Amino acid sequence: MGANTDVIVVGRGPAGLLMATLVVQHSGTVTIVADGQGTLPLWGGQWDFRNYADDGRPLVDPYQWWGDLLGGELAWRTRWSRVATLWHELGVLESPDIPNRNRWILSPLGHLRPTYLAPRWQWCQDQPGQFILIGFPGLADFSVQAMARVYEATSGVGVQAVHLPTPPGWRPHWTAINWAWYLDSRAGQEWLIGEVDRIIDASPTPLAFPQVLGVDGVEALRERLMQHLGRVVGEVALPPPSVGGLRITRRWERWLKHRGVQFVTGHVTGVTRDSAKLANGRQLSGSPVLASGGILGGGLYAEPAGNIRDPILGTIVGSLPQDRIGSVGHRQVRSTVPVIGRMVGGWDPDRHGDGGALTLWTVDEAFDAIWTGLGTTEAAPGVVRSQSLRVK
Amino acid sequence: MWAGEDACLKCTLCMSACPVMSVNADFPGPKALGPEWHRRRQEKDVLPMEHVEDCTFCQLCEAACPVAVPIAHLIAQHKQIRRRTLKIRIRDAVLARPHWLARTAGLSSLPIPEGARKLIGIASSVTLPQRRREPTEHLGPRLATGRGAVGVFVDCYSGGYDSELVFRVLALLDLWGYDARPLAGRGCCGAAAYAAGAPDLACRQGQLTWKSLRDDVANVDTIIILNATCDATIRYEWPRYCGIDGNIPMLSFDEVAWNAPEEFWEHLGSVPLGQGDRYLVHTTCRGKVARGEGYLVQLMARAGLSAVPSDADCCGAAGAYAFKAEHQATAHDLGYYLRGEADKVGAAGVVTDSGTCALHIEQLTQVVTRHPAHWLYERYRQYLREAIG
Amino acid sequence: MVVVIGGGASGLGVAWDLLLRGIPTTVVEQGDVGGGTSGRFHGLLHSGARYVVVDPVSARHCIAENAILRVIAAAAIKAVPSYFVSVDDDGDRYLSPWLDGMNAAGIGVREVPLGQVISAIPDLNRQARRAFSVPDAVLEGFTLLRLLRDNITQRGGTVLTHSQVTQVHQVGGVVSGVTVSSRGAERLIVCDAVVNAAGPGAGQIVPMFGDQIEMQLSAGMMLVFANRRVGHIVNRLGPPGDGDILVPHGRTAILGTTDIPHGSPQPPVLQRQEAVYLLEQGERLFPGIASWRALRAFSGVRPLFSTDSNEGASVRRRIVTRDFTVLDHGMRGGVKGAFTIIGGKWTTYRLMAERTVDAVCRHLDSWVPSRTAVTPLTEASSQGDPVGAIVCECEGVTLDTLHALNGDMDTWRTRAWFAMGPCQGAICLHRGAAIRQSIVGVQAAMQEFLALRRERWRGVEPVAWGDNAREWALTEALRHQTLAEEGMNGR
Ligand SMILES: Cc1cc2nc3c(=O)[nH]c(=O)nc-3n(C[C@H](O)[C@H](O)[C@H](O)COP(=O)(O)OP(=O)(O)OC[C@H]3O[C@@H](n4cnc5c(N)ncnc54)[C@H](O)[C@@H]3O)c2cc1C
Ligand SMILES: Cc1cc2nc3c(=O)[nH]c(=O)nc-3n(C[C@H](O)[C@H](O)[C@H](O)COP(=O)(O)OP(=O)(O)OC[C@H]3O[C@@H](n4cnc5c(N)ncnc54)[C@H](O)[C@@H]3O)c2cc1C
Ligand code: SF4
Ligand code: SF4
Repeated sequence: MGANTDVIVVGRGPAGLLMATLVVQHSGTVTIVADGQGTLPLWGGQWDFRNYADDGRPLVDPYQWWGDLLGGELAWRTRWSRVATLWHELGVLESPDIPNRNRWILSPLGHLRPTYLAPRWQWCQDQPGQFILIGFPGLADFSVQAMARVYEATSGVGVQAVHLPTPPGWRPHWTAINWAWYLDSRAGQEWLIGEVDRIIDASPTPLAFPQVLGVDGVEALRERLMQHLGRVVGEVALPPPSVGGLRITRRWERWLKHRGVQFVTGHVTGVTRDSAKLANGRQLSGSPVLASGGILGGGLYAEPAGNIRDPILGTIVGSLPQDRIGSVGHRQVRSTVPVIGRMVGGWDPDRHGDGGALTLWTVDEAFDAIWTGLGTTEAAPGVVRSQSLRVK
Repeated sequence: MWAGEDACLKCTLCMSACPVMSVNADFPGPKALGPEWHRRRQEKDVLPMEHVEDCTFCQLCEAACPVAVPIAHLIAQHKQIRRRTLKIRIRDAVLARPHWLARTAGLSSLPIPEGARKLIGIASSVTLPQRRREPTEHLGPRLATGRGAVGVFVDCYSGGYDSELVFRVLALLDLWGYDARPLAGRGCCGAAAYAAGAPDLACRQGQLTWKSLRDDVANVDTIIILNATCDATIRYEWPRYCGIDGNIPMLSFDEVAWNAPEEFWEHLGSVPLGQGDRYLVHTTCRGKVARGEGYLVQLMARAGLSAVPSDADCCGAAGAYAFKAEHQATAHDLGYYLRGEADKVGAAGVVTDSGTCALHIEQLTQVVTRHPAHWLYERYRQYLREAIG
Repeated sequence: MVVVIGGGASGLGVAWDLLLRGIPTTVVEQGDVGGGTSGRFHGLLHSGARYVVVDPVSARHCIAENAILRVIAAAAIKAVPSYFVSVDDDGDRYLSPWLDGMNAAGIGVREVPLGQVISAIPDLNRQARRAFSVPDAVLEGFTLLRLLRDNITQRGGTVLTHSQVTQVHQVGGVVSGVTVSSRGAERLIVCDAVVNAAGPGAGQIVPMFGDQIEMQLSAGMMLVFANRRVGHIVNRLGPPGDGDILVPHGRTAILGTTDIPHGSPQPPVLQRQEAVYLLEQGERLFPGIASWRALRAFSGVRPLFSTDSNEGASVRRRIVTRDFTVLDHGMRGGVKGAFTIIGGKWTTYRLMAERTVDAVCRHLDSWVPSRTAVTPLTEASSQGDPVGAIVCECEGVTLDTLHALNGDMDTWRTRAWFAMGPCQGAICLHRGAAIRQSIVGVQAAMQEFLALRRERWRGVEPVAWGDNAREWALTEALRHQTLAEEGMNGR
């Protein structure tokens, strides 16, 4: 395609989408090229800041933990506000305000775990308390009885578990994604409201559903449930197919498409300062930013002998088993071709619960790097530029 | 074994991406029908799964997959061993050969009464292709010359039902300074057969078509493909799954259009935008998978039209899929999304670069749905009318 | 009463043979049945073809037992086409002695046109020179162990798992009983004889019999590939070497093995280096094997021992006989009524058991002939089609199947293949934990779950490359970010 854009983002995961968002918000043009969907639909959607201290204990105040690191509180608040505003626009958050501390969400095993920015549909607690778990037939990832038992054993609070029957048209193979599509339909919504009405008592105890309350229609259904039942209704994020991440992905990608972002399907084999080469021989012009993910995303490749290679830049960034699979990656964000997201090493989102922060900070740095690299006089991002970014 | 056949991570990204899963509660989904079924089958003979044929072969699952499992192609293999009744086999054998239908387009355009449809398993209410008859007019003096010789690949649908599209494309190419002609070689790329679970037939068709094209292709600088599905099939299935490695110099129509002379765009830009001249742009599923999304919107925007991208993943036409009675509901529900969008946008037209998709979308949205070349042609005609009078 | 130490192929084989001869028996196993080498082998029902040149006695045993097991243990034997393929000069040089050996051992061999083999096995080395069909087959170890165990208990035998023999009692130099410790509790079992079938652990039992033997343990690694890419058994023709056999097993294919001297009966920590080496060896048969998705590695310890201690470790290990030995410790100056069965192969477990029980009978002075060769092992219950919600998607294991098994998660693994597929537990382990909770409670279920997680990781880590590394990265994200599986601590 003849259209050159200011920036080429390699990768469609959360880091790539966020990078593209910053560019269009600053009136630049951007192409996203990717050979796969990226990991966003694999998570429930909660965006982590820092969940655990170095000794593994859960954190309540992530701002305090970060202290002056990476710009300190002010910079972090700016970064988070950016996401919160976008998510509010996408309907993911109720308000564009950002929280001051971590909150607790429930894992499918019944454990409480901290998180920072949680979508409105997420079932959250500030401290352990009563609720009712709603079990769905055949949903092996949401065993309410077991979760209730673990919750009680770990938090000391007993919770109730109830079971829904099967709806008409239900099939044994249904996973969370089938349920969610079903509950996007009118028939599904009527069925759910009727059944929930029947099986729960009249108390105001909040309800915790598995994350299946619709894909595109979750807000409407949740509102209806809350109105109808007069209590708080939330969802527990499940392992993939994770509906929460899917909801965000769909909305976010649409948002970008409607703002003129080009999506190109392709496998990038190499980049220069101002172009990216695809496996099919084509070439894209623009300043590349690599958001091609870590080992899972495909941005880093583990060789049999243990070396971890970046196949696009051709560099070795670590080796197994010396490095942990979750924390290996590039050490430089602002190099000739900036790298962002899970490509960046040293962070361990799995252990520390800071995947969201990793994405935010690296995108911020990289944006700054191409911004100044493009010779603009304006110092920092955050200011909306009127005309498009121009490449040399 | 194809590369990636054993790579499945069980991440379920394919399931999240599959449009059929969003409307069809019986559909077991790409992971179960593709890599999982296939892995079982490598151990011992197993029965095909129910509803495997509900897959539209849109390949959006493959586009989502992080490890390039050839999911949809495995499903096509899976479909191939489905047992079907004789009646259905005959119907499918015909529908898998769109070039036959196209050759007898005059005949097959005749209305088929309800009862007869039922008998042969054709969806009761869908519009079947009708031959389009519209005159193509000359577009005035050429805007450039000497831009090379190009051959237009006449796909089954355009050849059979929409030859005017081909003429309009030729008129535009001529205007842009190309030495353009339709390629003499004809045939089917195999897309419909592959989608319907007859990959072997599809590849045979592809090979025959390539044979009939080959000599002709040598005489042009590049061939131009009008239909996004054919484009994806020739680009992707031919070399990877059918062993046809012609290194074919090819461009999609929109890629050529994008490089039309500057003057062309200036002319189009000078036409005032009429009230409600908004267009909904649907990039076909195969187009998304093979190339991406956004290029048609850009093209329309450059032509001075107000273009809004559709959010629909797959319209459900899927070759001959929507014509089959058993897929009527799924095809309808997939495509119906576009109706809501067309209403919301207040679309004067829908833009899409596949004949069967256009037919299906037009029926569901009740909005004229045509190839981008048609809209460019119409716009240029308008320019000629308004500027020259 | 005879006590058998060890619940592997040899131990269960001995117990079954004893019972068929009317001798009551108790098996004492320190872990789970199959927890030793019998659950960590290559899965080949040898025809003997591999041994005809270097170990003709073993070869003859193998072909005889091969024929017997196909009849008595049909449910555990999968007949698949098996080939020896010559791919290089090593193979060609070996050909004539090999064919002579095959003849001498009476193992049926037939040359197959190469074209036919290559079209059946497209992944095979295209430089292959000649191919021969032999009667190797697949031996499903866990299935055969289950058959043995079920038949033993049906006949009134006892299998004590998680139990150890801590003392052997004697009266006048003759075995009179053993002390068994089970999960902390001790008890005395009065018996007339003890059979040590502790596999690679046999050397550590022998001192209790007032005797001493020198084991020559060696460890062998195998690589499991995610798919059954090859449905045939393929051996590389040549002197037995490393990475020269591929065995299809269920929905996987397994490449093996290596042969590395090893000091302990416990399998070694798996090394990436060794996995890569194995892969390189495998390339001689399958040049593209590096691109196949390796799922995990595992290794087992060969319970070999050298009868002539002068040979020592200097002898090339694969030359050490694969044959077995029955030691009557009474005859060697130790306790009377104590026996050790050592060496051999899975394939020859029945014969080994027969010879051992022959010796036991002589000691007991009551001669009854063995009937194991003619008594089929019956299936306790035929498994119908699995029904119910699917818990493990890779292997299609349903909730009903797991409930019916009535065991811990590791039992699910060995019996139903739970968590054995491409995801290695990423998607299913937490589901299993939820099921187990209602049976054993929160704490115990979490322990089982985390233990199985670690067990899976040990096998994945050395082959975490390519797509499999991505699988593991996904697993890590799920464990910590989605499941928060270690709760508030221990991360
Ligand atoms: C199961 C799971 C749960 C998670 N839970 C949370 C959570 O609760 N909270 C939280 O904050 N974070 C969570 N994360 C996020 C995680 O920690 C990472 O921060 C995040 O996945 C990183 O995304 P990314 O954009 O860097 O890369 P990815 O999402 O991996 O995207 C990589 C992209 O690059 C493309 N690509 C790679 N190579 C090429 C190439 N050569 N050419 C073209 N394209 C290429 C891929 O196709 C893909 O589109 C979770 C992640 C997972 C997997
Ligand atoms: C890498 C490898 C590949 C092989 N491939 C094949 C093949 O393809 N075909 C083939 O026929 N053979 C093969 N073999 C050989 C075969 O697996 C073994 O010979 C056979 O499994 C040995 O069985 P066993 O019962 O003697 O030992 P084991 O299976 O090890 O059984 C011994 C049991 O005793 C228990 N035990 C140990 N000490 C004590 C104690 N103190 N108290 C109580 N219990 C105790 C252990 O827990 C164990 O369960 C292979 C071996 C290896 C190592
Ligand atoms: S997207 Fe690919 S890897 Fe993921 S489950 Fe589907 S086939 Fe498997
Ligand atoms: S090809 Fe399309 S319809 Fe078929 S399984 Fe894949 S995503 Fe679903």
